[in-house]
Amino acid sequence: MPLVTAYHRPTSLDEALDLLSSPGRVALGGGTTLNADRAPSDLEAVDLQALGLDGIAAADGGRVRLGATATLDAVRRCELLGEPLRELARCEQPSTLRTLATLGGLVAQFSAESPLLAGLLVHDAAVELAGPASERSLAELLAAGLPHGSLITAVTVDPSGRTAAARTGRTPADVPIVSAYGRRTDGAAVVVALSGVADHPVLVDADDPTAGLAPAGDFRGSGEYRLHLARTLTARVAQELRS
Amino acid sequence: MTIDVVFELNGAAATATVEPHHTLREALRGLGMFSVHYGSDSGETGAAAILYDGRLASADVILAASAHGHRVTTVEALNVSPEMHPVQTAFVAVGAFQSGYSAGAMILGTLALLEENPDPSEAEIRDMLSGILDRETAYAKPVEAVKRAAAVLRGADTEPFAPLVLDPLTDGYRPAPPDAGGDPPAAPQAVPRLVPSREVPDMAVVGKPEVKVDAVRLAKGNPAFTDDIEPRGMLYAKVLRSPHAHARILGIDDSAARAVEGVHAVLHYGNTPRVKYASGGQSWPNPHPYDQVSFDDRVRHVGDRVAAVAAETVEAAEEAVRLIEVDYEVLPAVFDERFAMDSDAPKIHDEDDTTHICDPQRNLVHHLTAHRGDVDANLAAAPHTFEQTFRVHQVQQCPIEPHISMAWLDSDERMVVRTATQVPFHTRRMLAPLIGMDIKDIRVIKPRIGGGFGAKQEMLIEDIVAHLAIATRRPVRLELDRAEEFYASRTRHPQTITFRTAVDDDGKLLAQDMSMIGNTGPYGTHGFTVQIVSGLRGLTSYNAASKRFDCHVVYTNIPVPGAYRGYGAPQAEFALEAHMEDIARALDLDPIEFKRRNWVKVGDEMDIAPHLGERAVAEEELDSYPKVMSSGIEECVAQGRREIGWHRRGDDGWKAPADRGNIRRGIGFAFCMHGTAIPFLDMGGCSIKLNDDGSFNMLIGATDLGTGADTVIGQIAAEVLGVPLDDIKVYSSDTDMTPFDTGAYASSTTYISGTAALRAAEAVRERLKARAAMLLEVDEPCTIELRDRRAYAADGRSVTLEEIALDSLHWQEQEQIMGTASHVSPDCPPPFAAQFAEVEVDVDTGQVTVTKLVMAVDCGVAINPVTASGQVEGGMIQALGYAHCEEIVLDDDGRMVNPSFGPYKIYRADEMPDTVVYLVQTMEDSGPFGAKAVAEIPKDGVAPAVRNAILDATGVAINDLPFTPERVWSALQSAHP
Repeated sequence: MPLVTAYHRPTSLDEALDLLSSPGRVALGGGTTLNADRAPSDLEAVDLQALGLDGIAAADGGRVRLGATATLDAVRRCELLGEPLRELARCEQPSTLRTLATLGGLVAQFSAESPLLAGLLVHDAAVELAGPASERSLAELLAAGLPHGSLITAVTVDPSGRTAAARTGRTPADVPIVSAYGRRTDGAAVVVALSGVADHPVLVDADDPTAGLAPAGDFRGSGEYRLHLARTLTARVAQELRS
Repeated sequence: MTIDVVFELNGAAATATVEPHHTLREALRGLGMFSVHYGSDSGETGAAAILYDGRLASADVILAASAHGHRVTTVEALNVSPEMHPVQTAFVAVGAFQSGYSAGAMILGTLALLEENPDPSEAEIRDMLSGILDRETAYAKPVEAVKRAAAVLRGADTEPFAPLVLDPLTDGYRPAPPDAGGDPPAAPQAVPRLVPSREVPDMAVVGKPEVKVDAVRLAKGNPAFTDDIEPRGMLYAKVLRSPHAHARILGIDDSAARAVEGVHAVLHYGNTPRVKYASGGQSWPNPHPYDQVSFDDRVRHVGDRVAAVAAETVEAAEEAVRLIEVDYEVLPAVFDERFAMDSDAPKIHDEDDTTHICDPQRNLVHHLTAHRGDVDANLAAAPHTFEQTFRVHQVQQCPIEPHISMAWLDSDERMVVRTATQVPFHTRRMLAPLIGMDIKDIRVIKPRIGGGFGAKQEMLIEDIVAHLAIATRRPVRLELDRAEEFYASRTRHPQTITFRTAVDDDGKLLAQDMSMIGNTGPYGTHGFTVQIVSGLRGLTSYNAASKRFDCHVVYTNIPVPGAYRGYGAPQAEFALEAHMEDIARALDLDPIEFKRRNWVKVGDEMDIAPHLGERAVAEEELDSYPKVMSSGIEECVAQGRREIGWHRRGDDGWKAPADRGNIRRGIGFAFCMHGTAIPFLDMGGCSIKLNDDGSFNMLIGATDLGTGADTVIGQIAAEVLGVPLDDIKVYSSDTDMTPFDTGAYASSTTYISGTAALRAAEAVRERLKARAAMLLEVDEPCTIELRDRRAYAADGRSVTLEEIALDSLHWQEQEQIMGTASHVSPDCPPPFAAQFAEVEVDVDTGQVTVTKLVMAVDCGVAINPVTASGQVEGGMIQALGYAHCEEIVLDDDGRMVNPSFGPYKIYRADEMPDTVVYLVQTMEDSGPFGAKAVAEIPKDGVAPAVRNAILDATGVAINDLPFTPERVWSALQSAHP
C-alpha cells in the first residue's frame, strides 16, 4: 500500500481534472492496483466514484458504451455484450476483485497480460477521454500512451461478429502466458489480438502473427516460447473463425 | 490528517476515523469486525472479503475513505442470536472449514450469491469462491456447503452429511481383478467414500462425522486468532530485511530511525545479545548446528533479518525501517545445491562460534549415510540396473494467515507470547535463552491458527517481539506481510536426488541406492531431519535385499527451507515413484503390478528406518526391525483404479480424442507410504476433569492448525467416557495451562496426543465407575459401563454422570475426578495410499490440465471421516500445486521475483480438477481405536502420479518439477523434434 497522504472525491469532471493536474495525485478507480502497490511512494488519491462514469448503455452504430468506472463485474453482467467478451471480463479478476476493478483502470494500466484488453482491441474499442484529448482507438492509446492530463471516461466497443479464443497458462484460471482472441464479422477478415507478447496487448496479422514481435521472457515463458504460443494460438483462433 | 468515514455497517450507521491510507479492512477491524482477516495487501486471498453494496469485495484494497456512503456487511451481521444462520449451519454441517480463517468471506459470498440466484450451478458457486484462496480444503466441501445452503433456503430437504459406505473389492490382502466392482459409485465429490473393515467395531462417537468442536466460533467469525485481541498500549513492529543474498554488515546507523516520532526501540546486532540457536521447532536437544542469532552482522539470504523497530503505529515503524542506514560489504552467493560444495563457492558460515557443521569450508552441514546389505555387490551382479536423477524445487507453505506474534510482560513481569505456532512448548524452551529469561517465566499461548503446514513449526518471529517487549516494556505485535511470508519465513527444501536400482529377471528389486543433495539454504533449522525423512521415505516403500542412503546437506543463499507438510517425503516419493514407473516401462511390466511385487506388506520389515534419524543405530547393533502391522493398500488400489478408470490407459480413442488433435490423455499412479509420528520422540499429554453437570474439560498441548485435531481428540475421549462430543470442552494450547505436547507435526497428533487423551479418559472412566459402583451399591466397579451420559450396572440400573459429579464434588468422600496421561510410542505405523491422476496434455503448447485426482487412503480407523477426508482433499491440492504450478523463482541476485499470489500460483476454486477421496479402514492395534496418520500422506503421491500420467499420455518422462507449460513443451520438443 502506498502512503496515501490525502483523499479527494471530486463530483465533476472539471474538478477531477483540476485535482489531477497537480503532481503526486493519481486517479483511483476500484483501487485493486493502486492499493495493492507496495512501493512506498507518497501520493494523493483522487477517487472517481462520484463522477457518474459507471454507466453502461447501447450507443450509436450498434456499439456499446462502457463507463470508465464500470466494474469488471458490471461488464461481465452486461447483456449488450456477447458471452465471449463477458467471459473475458469474468476471467480478468477473481470474484473479490472483479467487483472493485474498473474498466478504465484496466485500460490505464496497459497490462501486457490482459486477455480482456486483447478482447477489447478486436472489438474495435475506442477510448473516450476528458481533458486535452477527446477520443482515440484503444490500439492507438496502447501504442502511444495516455495523453498527459487526460482522464478515461468511457470505452466503446462493437460487440458484433463471431469470436474465438485460445490461451495457455499454468492452470486453467492462471493469467495466460499468451492468449489469442479473434473476431470475424460478415465478409471481413479475421482480426486477432494477443496478450503476453509485447508491452501491452497487440493486434496482429492472423497469417503472420509474430511479425515485429520480440517478447521479453520471464519465468513463466521465454521469449522464444511466447512466439511459439503466438503462432500456435493464433492459428487455432483463425482456423476456428474461418471454418 | 484524519477523515471521518460514515457508512452503513451491518445495517446500522457507523463512523470510522481514519488516516487517508487506511484500508477498509483496517477500519473494520478497528470497529471490532474481527472476521475480516489479513491475507495480503493486494486482496487476492479474499480473507478480508466483505459485502460492499451487496457484492463480495476484498476490503484490503478499498481505501477506508472510499467507503464513505457505502453499505458494508460482515459476517457479524448474522450473529444476532445464539443460533447460526442456515448458511453458517451448512458450512459447519459438511466440514467446510478447517482453520476457518476465511470463513466470513465464504459465508458472505454465499449469501450474496444465493440472494441473486437461489439455485446456482456448480460453476457459479466456484466462480463466487474464485476470490477466496483456500489452502486447506480443495474447495470440495465449501462447494457442497453452498449447494446445501441453497437447498435449505429453497425449502428442500437435505440428508445429514455422511460418508458413502462401500463394500470392499478385495479380501484385504490379495489384489482385486482388474475389472472389479464395475462402475464407481456416484456421489458428490465432497462425500468421502468409506470402506469399512470387519475388524473395526461400530462405535458411538469414534468413526462418526461429528461437527467440529470449534465450528460455531469459526462460522460466526468470533475473535479466535492471534490478531483478534489488542492489548492496551500495543506497539507495532517491522523488520528491516537484507536486500542482498550474502553480505557482511560493517555498520548500522539507527539514529534517524530512533528520531522518528513514535519509535520506541530499534534492535540489531549492535544492541542485542548474541545467543546461538537453531530455529526449527523440534524436541530437545535441537539438532545442530546452532547457526542463527536474533540479529547478526552477516546476512545470508535476501530477506534475512537486519534490524527490528517497535513504534506506536505501523507507519512509524515502516518509516523508521526505511531510515536505518546499513553499510554492507556484499559477498558472493550460491543458490544451487549442486554447486554449493565447489571449491570456489562462497563460504556461508565461516564464523567461529557455530559448531557441528560437518565441513564449513565446503558448506556441508551434514553428511548423512545409512545402509543395509551390500548394495555395490547387488548392483554389480544384477541383470538389470537403472539410474536416474531428479530435481525438485522450492515452494512455500502459503498459510493464508501469515506469521503473527505478540508479546508483553504480564503483571508478574513474566513474558507472555501469543503466537500463531505449531509448537508452543518448543517455542517457550527455545525462546528462553535468547531473551535471558527462565522457561518458568515465559508463557506461550497458541490461539486459533490460520493454517501452518509446517511453516509455523519454527521459532520464527517470537524472539523479535519478545526482545522488543523487553526493550519497550510495552506489548509488541509483529505480522509478516505476504512478501515476507514468501521469502523471510520458511519453504520446502530443494533437492537433487539420484536413484540406482538393481532388479532381477522376475521384476524383484535387489538393491536401491539413493544419493541426494539437500539444500537447507543459509541455516540448518530442519535441514537434518527433513533429509532424513527423504531417505526414510525413499528407501522404505519397497523391499530390496540391500539399500543405501548417502546425503549431503548443504548451505546456500536461498530463502530458508524448513518444515513443510510431508517433510521430505514428497521430494523422495516423486523421485522414487517416477523411477519405479520408468523401470516398469523398461521391463515391459504394468506399473502397478511391478510395484506390487516389491512394495512392503504386512509383516515386512521397515529395514532402513532404524538406521536413520536422531537415534539411528547400526545394523549390527539391532536385534530386530520394526514391521508393517497393518496395510490396506490392495483395497486402496482396487477402489482407486475403479474410480479413475484405469482401463482407459489402453483405450487409444480416449487417449487421443479424434476431435481434439492437440490433446493427449493419460492416467498415472503412485504408491504412497508415510509415517505416523516419530517413535520414541513425539510425546503428547492430556488432562481431563469432570464438571458438575457431567461434562468434561479437556486440556491438551496438541495444536490444531485447522486439521480438526481438537475435534478428533475430543471424540476419542467422548467414546471412552460414554458422552456426546459436545460434553467434551477442549482447550489447547497454552504452556501455562495445558500439558506438554511436542506440537503439530510428523503426522503425530491423532496417534500420539489422541492416545494420551484415550489414557486420560480411561483414568477418569475408572473413577467414574468406582463412584457409580458406590452410588449403585455394586461390588465390582469393572462391571459398570458408561454410555449415553450414564453409568450402567450389569442389572440395568444406572446413574447419570451429572449425579456422579454432584456426589463427588459436593456430597460424600469429595474428590475432583480427573485424569492425566501422556503417550510416547515405540511404533511408527505407516499409512498407505494409492494416488491416481488423470491429465490432458496439449502437445502443441505443453499445457497440462489435471482433470481428476483420486486418493484412496488407509489411515487405519478415521476417527472422523469428514475431517480426515478434508485433510486428504486439501493435501492433494497443495501437492498438485507443487507438481504443477508453484515455484519460488529467484533472480540472479537471489531476489524472489514472484512473492505474491498470482505470479506464485496456487489453485483456486474455479479451476480445480475433480477430487475424490476413499478412506479404507484397517485396524492398527497400536493407535487409538485403530487410527494411523492421515495429514501428510496426501502430499506424497500427486507429483509422481501427474508425472506418470504425462508419461502415459505422451511417452515423455520429465524428471524436474513443476510441470509448467514451457518445461513440458521443451521436453516434448526434445523427444519429438
